[in-house]
Amino acid sequence: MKTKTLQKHSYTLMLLGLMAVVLLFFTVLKGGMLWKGDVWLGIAMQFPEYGVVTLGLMFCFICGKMDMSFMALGDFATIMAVQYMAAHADSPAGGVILVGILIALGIAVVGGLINGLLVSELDIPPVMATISMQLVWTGLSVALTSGNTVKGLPALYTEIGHKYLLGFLPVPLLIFLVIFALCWFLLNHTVYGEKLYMVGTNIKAARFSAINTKRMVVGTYILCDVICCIGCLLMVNTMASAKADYGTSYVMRCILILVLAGVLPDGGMGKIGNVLIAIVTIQIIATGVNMFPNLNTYYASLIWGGLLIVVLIMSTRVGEGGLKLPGMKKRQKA
Amino acid sequence: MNKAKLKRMTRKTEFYMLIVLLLLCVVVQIKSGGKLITLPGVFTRLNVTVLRTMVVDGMFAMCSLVVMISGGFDLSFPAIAALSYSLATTICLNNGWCAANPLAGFALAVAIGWVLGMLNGWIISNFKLNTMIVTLGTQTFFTGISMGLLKLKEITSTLPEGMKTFGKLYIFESADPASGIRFTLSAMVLFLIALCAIVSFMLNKTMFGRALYAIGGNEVSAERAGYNVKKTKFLLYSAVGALAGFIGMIRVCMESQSIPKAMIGKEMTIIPAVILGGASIYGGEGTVFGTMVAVGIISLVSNSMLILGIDTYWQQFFNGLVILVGVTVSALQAKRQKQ
Repeated sequence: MKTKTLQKHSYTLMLLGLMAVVLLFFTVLKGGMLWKGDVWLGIAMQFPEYGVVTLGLMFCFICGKMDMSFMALGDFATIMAVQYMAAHADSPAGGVILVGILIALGIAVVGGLINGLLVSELDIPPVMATISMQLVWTGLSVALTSGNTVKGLPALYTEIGHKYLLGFLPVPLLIFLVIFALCWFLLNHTVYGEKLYMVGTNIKAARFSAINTKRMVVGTYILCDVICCIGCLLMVNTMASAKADYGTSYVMRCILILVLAGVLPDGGMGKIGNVLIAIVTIQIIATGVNMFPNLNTYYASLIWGGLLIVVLIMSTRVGEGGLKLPGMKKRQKA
Repeated sequence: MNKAKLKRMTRKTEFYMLIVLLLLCVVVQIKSGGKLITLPGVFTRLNVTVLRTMVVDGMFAMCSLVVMISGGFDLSFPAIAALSYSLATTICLNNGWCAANPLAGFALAVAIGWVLGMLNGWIISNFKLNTMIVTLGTQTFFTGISMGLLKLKEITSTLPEGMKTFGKLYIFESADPASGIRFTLSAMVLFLIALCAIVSFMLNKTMFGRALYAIGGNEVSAERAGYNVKKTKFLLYSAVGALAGFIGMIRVCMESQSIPKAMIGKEMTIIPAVILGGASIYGGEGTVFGTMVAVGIISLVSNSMLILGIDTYWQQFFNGLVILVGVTVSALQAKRQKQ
């Protein structure tokens, strides 16, 4: 019984081990520097923005679909929102911010709907459909802003983002935790979550089990893009502006985190808890690299890339009784 | 017989893409007042520029095409190109090589690209992993090496003379009749033509090419039919790596500068073009001709924005739109064929 539980959570244990190794590595090299309060506060401030985006993309991956357009769409949505907020700077800030956020989320719904329809109604392979949409959204953003940064956010917007709840909990982290809890509930305790794993594992079998797969796919794309858009709104808060290419570098990072967490785009796999561990590990690496004055940020991508390859290879080397991706058995049969 | 042949032709994506390309040429020709092609000289400033942009993009598209035919998805070739050309030019610069000819630079870039490609090939062929994810990992890793570990710098004015002069070679020279501005047809176009011929020959006339189509169609069947899937994949990815290094070096020579960052995100413009040209993302389909037509469409659109009366800021949007429409049409066609 006990070994069975261990086996069931072997991937989580491996990720935790990985995190421990990373922590140990930086502790040995940098001594106590890693264990200062403000370093961890920095970590807590930085990961929520792409953490939220990763959680959104996770739904697409579990559904067995790919989305490459989420960041381009998020950038476009936030540009529209910031432009609206900047244009109505003289009205009361609270209402303007609310309308701005609603505009961004509305655009995300439309973008998700387009993605979903392209994939489910026209049968375009997800990667193709979403790469094309990525080009379209980025193109629209560049065209409407002439490639410039959009500024003029109400001061209240950035103020909220830099507040601490109860004196220690940064608001972005709070938003991340709320969304994490919602996603966790959605995946593990609702009919939707159950169906999502089924669609991701085998879409044909799911269709014959009376699941409306088309509606599931469209709904998942909308959900994914809306959550990603919330992440982009957090990013706007850090940057205090919006631009056509702010999110571009995050696309690959989010995919990397998910794959590291064992959520493969083949579908039907992965646990949300592992995603959280992977997000934090990736941020610890970035922060750790930043502590060396003579290393630039590209060292982090060196470690991320190397780590991804090693974890991928490890996940194939082990069979029964060893390391197992959640849901891996099904994949090997297919 | 002719009717059957015609029917077969109209089923292919390439056929429609070719029509689009020709229509686009006519529109640009009319809108620009005959600036696209002039008789009897054929070459103009506009079409020379279009061909010039097609060199690097078209050659990269060949890399992407062969991988896609085998059912794979390579995100790492721009990162390989960037690492090989920037490392090669840095080595050449530090040793004072390439003063007369760029051969040493090319040899180095190809060798580095080959080694990196072999790493891709080893991982993909040995562990049977999702190619997109593996190449995403290696892409991040290679970018980390070139800009983090090695801290390769931009080389612009100090680029070895041999590379500069090589990049400026041309096979045709003329002057614009209206403004008198001199324009040249870059000799690098020859490399593109040669590569297309080689890839086309390889795909259609060699066992290796047949193996790629077979593996892309159905990997298990290919293995049963006696193809050595593992060896083929390893060879494919190492060859693509070497080729990426070579193309990167051509780009350095053409632009007279080596910028390690220049290749970031390049895959996102090349892969859509290859898909537009009729290659299937599921593998087993795709031709050199279709890919080149698609690359031609995209370079023509992006180089004649002003002539078509489109603001340059809208360029990316229209590129995206062209690709979206192309992808949708070919998907609808595939759906119709299935029924």
